[in-house]
Amino acid sequence: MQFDQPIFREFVAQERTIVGHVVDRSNNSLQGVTVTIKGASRTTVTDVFGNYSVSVSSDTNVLIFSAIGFETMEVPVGNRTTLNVTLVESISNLEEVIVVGYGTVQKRNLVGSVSTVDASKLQDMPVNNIGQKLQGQIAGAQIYHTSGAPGNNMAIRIRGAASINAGNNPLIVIDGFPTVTGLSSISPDEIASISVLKDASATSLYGSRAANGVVLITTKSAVAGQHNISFNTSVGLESVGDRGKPNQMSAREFAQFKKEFYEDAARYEGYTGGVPELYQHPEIYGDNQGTDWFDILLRTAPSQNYNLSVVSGKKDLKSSINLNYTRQEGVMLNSNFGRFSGRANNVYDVSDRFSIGLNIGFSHVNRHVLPKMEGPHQLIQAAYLMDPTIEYKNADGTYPISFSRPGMFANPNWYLVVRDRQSPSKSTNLLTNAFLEYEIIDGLKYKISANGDIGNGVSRYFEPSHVRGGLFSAPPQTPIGNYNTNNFLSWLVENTMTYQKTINEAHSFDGLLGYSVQKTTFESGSIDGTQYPDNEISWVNAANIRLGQAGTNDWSILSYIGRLNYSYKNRYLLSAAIRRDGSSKFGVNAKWGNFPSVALGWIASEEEFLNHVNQLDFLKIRMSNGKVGNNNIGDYTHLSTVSAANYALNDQVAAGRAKSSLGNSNLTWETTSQFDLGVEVGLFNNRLFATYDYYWKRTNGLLYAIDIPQQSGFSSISSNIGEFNFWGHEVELQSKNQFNALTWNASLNISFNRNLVKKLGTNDTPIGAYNLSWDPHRTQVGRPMGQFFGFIYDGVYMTQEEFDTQPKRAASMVGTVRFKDISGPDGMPDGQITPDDRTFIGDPNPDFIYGITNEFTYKNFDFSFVLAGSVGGDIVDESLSSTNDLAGIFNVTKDVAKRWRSIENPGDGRIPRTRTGTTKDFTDLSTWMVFDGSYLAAKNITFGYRIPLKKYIESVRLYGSIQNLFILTNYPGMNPEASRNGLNGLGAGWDFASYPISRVFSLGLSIKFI
Amino acid sequence: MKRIPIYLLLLGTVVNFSCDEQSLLNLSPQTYQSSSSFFKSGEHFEQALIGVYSCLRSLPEYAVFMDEMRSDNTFFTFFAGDRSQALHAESIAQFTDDDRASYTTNRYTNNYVGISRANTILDRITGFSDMEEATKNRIVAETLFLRAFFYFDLVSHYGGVPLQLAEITSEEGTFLPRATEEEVYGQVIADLVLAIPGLPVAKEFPQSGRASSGSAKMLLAYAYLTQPNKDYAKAAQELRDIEGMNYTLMADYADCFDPAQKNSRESIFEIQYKEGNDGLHSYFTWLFIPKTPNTVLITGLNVATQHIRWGGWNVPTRDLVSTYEKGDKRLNASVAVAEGTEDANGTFLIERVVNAEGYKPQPGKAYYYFVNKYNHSPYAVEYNTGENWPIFRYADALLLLAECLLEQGDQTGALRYVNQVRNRAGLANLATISKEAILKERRHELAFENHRWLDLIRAGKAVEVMQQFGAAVKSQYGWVLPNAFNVTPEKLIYPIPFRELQINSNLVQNPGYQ
Repeated sequence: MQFDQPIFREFVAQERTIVGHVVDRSNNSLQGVTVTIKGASRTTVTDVFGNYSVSVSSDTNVLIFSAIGFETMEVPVGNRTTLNVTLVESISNLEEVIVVGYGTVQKRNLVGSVSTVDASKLQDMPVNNIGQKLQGQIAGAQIYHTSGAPGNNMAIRIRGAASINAGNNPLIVIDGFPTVTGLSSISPDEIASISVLKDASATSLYGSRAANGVVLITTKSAVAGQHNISFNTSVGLESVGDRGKPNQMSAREFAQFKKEFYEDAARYEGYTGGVPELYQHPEIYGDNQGTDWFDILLRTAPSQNYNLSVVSGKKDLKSSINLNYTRQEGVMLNSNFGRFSGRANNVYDVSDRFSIGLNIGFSHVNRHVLPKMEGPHQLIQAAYLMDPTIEYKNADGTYPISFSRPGMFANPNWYLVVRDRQSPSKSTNLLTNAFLEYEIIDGLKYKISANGDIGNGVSRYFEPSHVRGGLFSAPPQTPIGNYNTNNFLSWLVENTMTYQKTINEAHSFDGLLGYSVQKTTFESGSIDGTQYPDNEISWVNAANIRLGQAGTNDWSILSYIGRLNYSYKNRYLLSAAIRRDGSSKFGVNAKWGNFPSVALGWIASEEEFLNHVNQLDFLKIRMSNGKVGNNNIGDYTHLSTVSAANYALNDQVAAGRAKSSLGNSNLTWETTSQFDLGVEVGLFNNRLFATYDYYWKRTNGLLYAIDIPQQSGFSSISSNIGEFNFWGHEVELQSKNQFNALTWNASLNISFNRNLVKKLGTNDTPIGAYNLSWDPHRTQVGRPMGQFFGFIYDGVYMTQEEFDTQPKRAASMVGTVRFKDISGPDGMPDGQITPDDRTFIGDPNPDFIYGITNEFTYKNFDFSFVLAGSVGGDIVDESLSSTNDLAGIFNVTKDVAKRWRSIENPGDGRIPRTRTGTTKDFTDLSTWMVFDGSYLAAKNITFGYRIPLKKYIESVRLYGSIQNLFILTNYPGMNPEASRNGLNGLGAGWDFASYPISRVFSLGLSIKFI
Repeated sequence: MKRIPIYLLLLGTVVNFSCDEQSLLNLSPQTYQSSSSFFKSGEHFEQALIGVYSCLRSLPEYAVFMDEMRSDNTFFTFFAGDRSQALHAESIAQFTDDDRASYTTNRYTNNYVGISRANTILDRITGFSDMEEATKNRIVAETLFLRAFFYFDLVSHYGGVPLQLAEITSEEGTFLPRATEEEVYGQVIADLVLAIPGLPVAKEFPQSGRASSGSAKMLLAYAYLTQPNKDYAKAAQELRDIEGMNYTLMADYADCFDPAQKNSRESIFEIQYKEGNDGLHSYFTWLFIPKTPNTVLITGLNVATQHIRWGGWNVPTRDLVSTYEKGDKRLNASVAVAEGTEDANGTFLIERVVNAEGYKPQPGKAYYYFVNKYNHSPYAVEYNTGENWPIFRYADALLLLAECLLEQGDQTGALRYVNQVRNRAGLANLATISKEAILKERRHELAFENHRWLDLIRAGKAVEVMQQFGAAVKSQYGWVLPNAFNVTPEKLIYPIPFRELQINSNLVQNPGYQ
């Protein structure tokens, strides 16, 4: 296993060999430590046992031992032949090389705002999406787990970025390639590091796609001298906690409610049908809770993960191979996610100047999550709106397929619906990066890379007869099914020339020029099948009627890039960058755009006048300004769409066409100008490292569909009129502490993100909340975006006198809901409750978000936890509008027992009466559905123990971890991060019966072979 | 090894310059047409015209709720489970509707989509030369007719609306304020006068389904009679022109609605549907069937359906059925009775379907009237029929002409046309004629053809009739709220949709809906 020999034997005169062993302070062998003879060019690295061997020419030689993450150590050889060394973990990470757009840079020299995460710190979290691991770890990034459905992507929002129509997902770049796939197809175990680029200086090289920030993923590769095989596995059990579950009535409570419902109908509405027999005697249900329609859909679900990694770093061929299999059963029945993925990253050095690289990653995902699980009246909610007196299972173990209850629509058996509908999907993805790099003269490198992202997806759906139907229609009905395929190809060819030069040790230049072309094509097809004869064959070819369609769309982008980094005396830093993008997505009048940025940095701690400040080890002040864009407006929005609009003439099809959307040939990217001011401070031997950033950005030319009056024949036109301002503060503290054998690393980050809407279209027409329910957000000029808009709830008209003297709505009566009269057609309270009385009743934008991580290592034990939290953001739980529907058609919350029934029996004053025709008002969005969404969540807690071994196996590590152990919040719903629209700036904080988040207990084992 | 950089540079250069910028960056959709490729040939204008016609397809459904259920002809079947689903539709029938009722909103929107498509053709065809003059004139005439049709529908239901008369290509020009009622009628009349010479007189029957000169004249007559200053003489002139065309009454009243006899000699204009998977079918008959889990006795289709959710609308009132004279063939052609049992859950199971004339409720049985005019079962697939919707029939023209003549004092003339229609229905001649008699004749002849509400308004009877009707409904159904059927003259038109008022500050809401 001895790979590395001193190279320049012939050069040495009185040569002798020194051997040694390098370990860290826990006495673990260190592989890959570079051993250099000071003043000479010879270098070697330690092998897998931490051993090295080097030839020296004289006793005065000094050996330099360096490795990333450790303090560099210089040792004079003297007359020794054996030199064993213990390296100390470096406290400062200033020398760390971090990945930025189109290159790398030492942290100390960085002038942009970039947050990085070393993926090795995340490896103990048994989750299959990298986004989930990043929660709480990155200042300025809000990462929310909005839905627990297996395989769902996390919502990510960087620096509060928002757009109206163009989305606010950051650009995901994997090994330099802006991919289509995103994060879900890549295994977290393949990832070496993650850089989140935040300011314009860091992102402007991604031009028209960078406005939402850029996430750079670097996959694992080998370094020379590194050789190992490691295997990791973990198994987990997932379940849903009780906190926040729907608070529905039990069988007896519901029977009582229905009984009273009919009694009141008889009393007030002349209803003569009597109380249906089922509900006449609620006491017969006794203490029996009846069917808990939410709980019967849940289960305790196993998850598992296996990862094999083989790393081999020979001198001229460096390979890293990773194989991963992960599978997660969902906590709701009939849902799961499985992924098999592999990656091989190879670099072959043909000569000192010429190298070739090839990265190949593939993944195959199997997923089963039913469509329409979450949201208004969808599967999850439809189930728990059922009458709890219904038994979902017969005494003989069979299941009824439908139910009908007085005054309620016939329903399917939701247990069977969730269990028996089929929706398998598969997708296969291949991601390749190949490059050739040649160093033409010293410092001048040319690189060409070709990248491909190929994806193929197939999904199928089948609704058997006995589970076909919905909230308002019971099975059996004829089955339906469909079959969908989609595929895409994205290719990118990039040419870059880089030049590095240092003059007189004072002036250091680093330049980049490049040219790139990317094109992406999507195709999709679907076949819908109806009129199946029976349930026997679920594939669509069994359907008697099949209708199919196919489609394609594409986009392309052509770009020039350039960057110059310059530093003077290692303390004055300059970075200027530009990208010029031409895009097929933009109108003919606006095809091209320039995205420049400039940043300045000053490492003040290098100045003599600060030398005497002993506690201050590092002080850097940096500033950047620049412009980036967002091009996510759809591929052909600048063109008017002409769609089929047929008619029948002579009883035959007459082909017709009509403009179905308005194009705009001036349409272009939206531009975000961003200013950033940052300060980095290292104190007490860099034990405490603090980073502060202030940013201010303005997004204008917002790409969005302006609502225009329907009298135009259209509801909207895409345009570039709109402006948002954003500003905020980010603080990141890192502390690394060593107390003998105990190491304690802690970090804290806090982000304050603010925004203000400045302009919306030509008329500043507010966006959203045009419906009184199920449309809670309004974005209006002069306010932060996406605020909740509704009525101010003011209890119930308790008495006739109260009713007579208070403002009313059209259908109001004594005992119905009362809202505050705050306005009218003329802007003044008018004694009537109308939609004019709605106002801003909540703000989902948090005051601040924060994350805390702590790691303790003591000898072979380790313990770590990650907390994430948010303060001050509101959340709307609009599922309550259905669980407080007083029309008698759904099961309701226990609170409804205390509703208004009569003047003598007015309840607790919070819930109105059940009178026909009056109950809709209570379901309109009002303040009683708005809650404080502040929370603090334990995202991950891990305990580990490492068993050092010597033979064949270097070490074995055992660990146990818990995801989502607790969440501290006043929000009564299940998940304060839930949001139907993710973290879309215009639609955040809207919970509506989402797939619950699970708590995961897992055990893991990782074995490192020698 | 030394040659490698040259090859490399060469490779890079090849890759770079093989990408022609223009072809790379100018991508347009391949699976549908876009503005970059449309309105380039005469055929495109023909297709665009069909695109205007296609906007007619959704109108009958809106009108069922807004023109028939709003009147005393029909109501709906109350179903407890509908509470959160169908309130907006129920509210129209009870005069508790507001500016968010979706039928009111959709009708407004749909008419303007049609107008916008028409404006686009009219603007673009002017400068288009690659087309025969005759074809161009016909396309312009049909387009003008359709634009007038949509504006008439708007002004008669919402009052003075914004007059958009040019193609919209940008945000500018979309925020117009409301025009007056007179201005909109003025535009309707002007468009029709311009269109009529370019439209053919119907000669071949069955007709194609396109607008003819008769269609335009009928609409023009309605415009003269519905505008604030009614012009009976001009309306009568247009109707007499129609009398001189090739139309006749069908021998059998029921044949007017038979899909096998579409666009017949009696048809002046009807909305076209086609059964099958082309997406051009109609389904309104299904809305009229009583709420029941199995419709086989009505539709001939024995499948479990979602009909409890979809049916039970436009239910003929007892009041209407009771006003038909004995022997009026139109009653059984229009209304039938579904009789059956109703269980404790309120689920109605049909046992037999019988004629409405002479029906006596059976003890222990539940029954519902339903509109049978558009039911020509058996059907092959649920919610998929080829039934057309009549807009203007020759019988309608005769009755309208009678209305004009009576207003002008010509009782004899009026009587002649009314009796012509009555005779076809198997009824004897009337001896004298009155406004009320014509209104009643129209009620029976045109029942469920979405005329009743506008007829009541034109006769000045809407408020009175609907207040009486409301009082009767309230005494019949305890669940009707006290604020229902507050029928005032303000309720004769519908509100401008909520969204429009929110977006366009130049709009003012109709009184009574603020």
